[in-house]
Amino acid sequence: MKRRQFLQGSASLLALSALPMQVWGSGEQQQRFIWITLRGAWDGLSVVVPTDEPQLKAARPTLLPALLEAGPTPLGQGFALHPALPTVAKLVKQQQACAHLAVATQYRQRSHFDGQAYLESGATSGSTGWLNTLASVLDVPAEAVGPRLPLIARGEAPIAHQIHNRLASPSEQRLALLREWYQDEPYLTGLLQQAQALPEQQPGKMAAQARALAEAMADDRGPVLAALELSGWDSHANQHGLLIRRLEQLDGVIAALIAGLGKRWPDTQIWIASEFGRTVKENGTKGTDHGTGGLALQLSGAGQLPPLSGRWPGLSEQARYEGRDLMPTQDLHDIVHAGLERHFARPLPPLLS
Amino acid sequence: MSIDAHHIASTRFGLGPRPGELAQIKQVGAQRWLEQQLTQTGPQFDNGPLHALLSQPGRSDEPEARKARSKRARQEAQRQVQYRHQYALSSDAPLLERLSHFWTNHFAVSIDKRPVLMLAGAMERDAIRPHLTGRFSDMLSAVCRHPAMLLYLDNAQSAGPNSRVGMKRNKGLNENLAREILELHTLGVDGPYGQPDVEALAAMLTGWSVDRGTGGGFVFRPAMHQSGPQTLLGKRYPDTQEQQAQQALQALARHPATAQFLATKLARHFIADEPSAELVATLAKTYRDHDTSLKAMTIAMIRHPHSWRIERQKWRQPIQYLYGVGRAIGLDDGAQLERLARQLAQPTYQPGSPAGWPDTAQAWRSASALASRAEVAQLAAKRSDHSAEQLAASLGIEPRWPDSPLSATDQRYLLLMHPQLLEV
Repeated sequence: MKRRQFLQGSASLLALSALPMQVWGSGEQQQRFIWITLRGAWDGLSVVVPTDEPQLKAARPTLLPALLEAGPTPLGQGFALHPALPTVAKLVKQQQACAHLAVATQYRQRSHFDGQAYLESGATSGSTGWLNTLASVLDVPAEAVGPRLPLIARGEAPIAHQIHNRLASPSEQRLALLREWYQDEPYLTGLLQQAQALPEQQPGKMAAQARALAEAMADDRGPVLAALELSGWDSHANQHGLLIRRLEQLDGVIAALIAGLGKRWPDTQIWIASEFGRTVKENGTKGTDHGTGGLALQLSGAGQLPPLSGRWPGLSEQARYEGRDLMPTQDLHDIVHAGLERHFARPLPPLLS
Repeated sequence: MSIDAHHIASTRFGLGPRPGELAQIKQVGAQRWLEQQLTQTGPQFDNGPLHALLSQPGRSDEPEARKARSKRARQEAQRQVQYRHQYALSSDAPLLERLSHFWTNHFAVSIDKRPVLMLAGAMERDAIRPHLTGRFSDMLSAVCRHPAMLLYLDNAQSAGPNSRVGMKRNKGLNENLAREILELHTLGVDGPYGQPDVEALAAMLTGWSVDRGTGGGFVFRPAMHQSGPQTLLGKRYPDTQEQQAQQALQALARHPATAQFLATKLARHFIADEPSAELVATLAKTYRDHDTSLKAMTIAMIRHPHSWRIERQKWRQPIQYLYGVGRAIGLDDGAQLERLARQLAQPTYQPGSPAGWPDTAQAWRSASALASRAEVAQLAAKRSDHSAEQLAASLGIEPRWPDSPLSATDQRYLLLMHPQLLEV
């Protein structure tokens, strides 16, 4: 019943101001933060390509030539950006995008599902996501978009969740009937209360949903934090074509978010990452297998970002993790945490479980 | 609010009552009604159209021909999905259907990977259903030899680096299937294996491939097989070609970690998100003592007292909710059911990941999900021609109606949104 009381509590302004950890009223918070999980582990070495690495050609005899022929955008310091990310390339020019190289969480096995749980909660068996904890700490509204409420958004704070489908939203009269029907069902009553406050349905492609979310966030009273996800990055075979399709979709989502945020974009940061990276060597089927060190992208409307950040470990076999993967040189959660503290201009407690 | 044994049999173990089902369960007895189903053979849809499609010449450069072919493939995939829904909506052995769905999800393939489009339903039919009351070791082997799995997890193309194909065409290992067999299908992610075991199993599986020429069956390609012995979980497997991986799979199926992993997953699916350790231990021991018999393990679950707790403890997945609604109102349109499943974010054969659909309330229970179900219930209530009294009787609900004035549609809507349909 604890949960229900919490929900009811946050529904009333009086109770809200009585919460001890409140720092910002939701109307005062200017900054916005969006997290995008890329499920399946994107191949960082193809997204921000270390073109000067002598080892890369030998490790990737078919993947690298195909990629170079497609014409990646030079980023300087021996790196280039995948050509299917034109929006990101534009942001780099405006100092609004930064590639964090050789990042990983502390998770060191190679299971997608444990890796994603670790990414979202800080433990393979976590039940509270760090975005939920952040929403509690900042005391701000948050929203997750996707087929199911992702682990990153689960926990005590009531985070809005939008499935986005073609069903209409139930009318107030339909919901009122259910409220009477569920009188003895506190949990269902709590869900109904949240259902009343849900934003409008936005069926259609991921970019359309992203645009709707961003427009809601642009509003003074809109969500301050949001989580999105894109699936299908597990490129074990025929990676070149698969990555082009996925990156084009991601680029479209980024463009839609920035368009939807409008005047709010200068106050917004977007972070994009996966559970882990992929093997340095391509496998026997023109793909790559599960690895360790990977790539995170940070986008910021405020600008002043360097195109690249982090210590590059090199790709020689001795420099690799277990002789096969890119060696992680920075902790993903640490850099996101530091980024959040700068963005919200305040110290934050640990967010991981 | 608690629930009675007949409702538990019908909904926790089955797909929810059709008209008359609860009366039948009362007559036969709840446990007996369930155990009797395990002696039946399930439905068999016709594989003819699939094989006709698969045996047509493969690639064509003509855009028109390619388009027509891809349209036929989509239609065939839809046909398989609609059959699945029609069985579930009409079955009088719903436990068998639930088991088939559970094990299909355990060995999840996803039709968003194009080569699998026409094969997911075929895999359920040919590799899952024949073994629902047989041995897990046989199901594991049948699934790993099925083209749907070999293509979905890329094993069809995997070649040993020292094999003829590997050396001549510079091809090599793909460890996708091997990793997921260990992590998702047998030992579980916390099981006692490491990266060298993944690579050893991947090497043993090289050569297990798909023959696209003769209608897409299993074929062993010696020219792709990595020669030499391999060591998996400390046991050495001499190179017996196709049999090498087969023997490894047999040993994996009988590993105690596999017993524990499968028992936990089965109990979590049917009984509770956090099943009691005692229930899981009983299921695991039964599985081990009966040489991976799924029938024995299922019966042990049916007979365990913890399976009959009267508190509601499972939030039904969207598809189970839809079958519950569909069976109650007599829906028989599989295409319509699939449209609704898409809206509730659970499109058939499309979990999008080899881990399959998640199985706990945390994943599925949200305000947005509840609001979507309310819309589905309203659609179904409008369309149903059952009276509210009939519907309440079929569902075994004695309604205490709210004070507001209610139309017959309102009453049906409320019945289809009764907590009993959402949670069991």
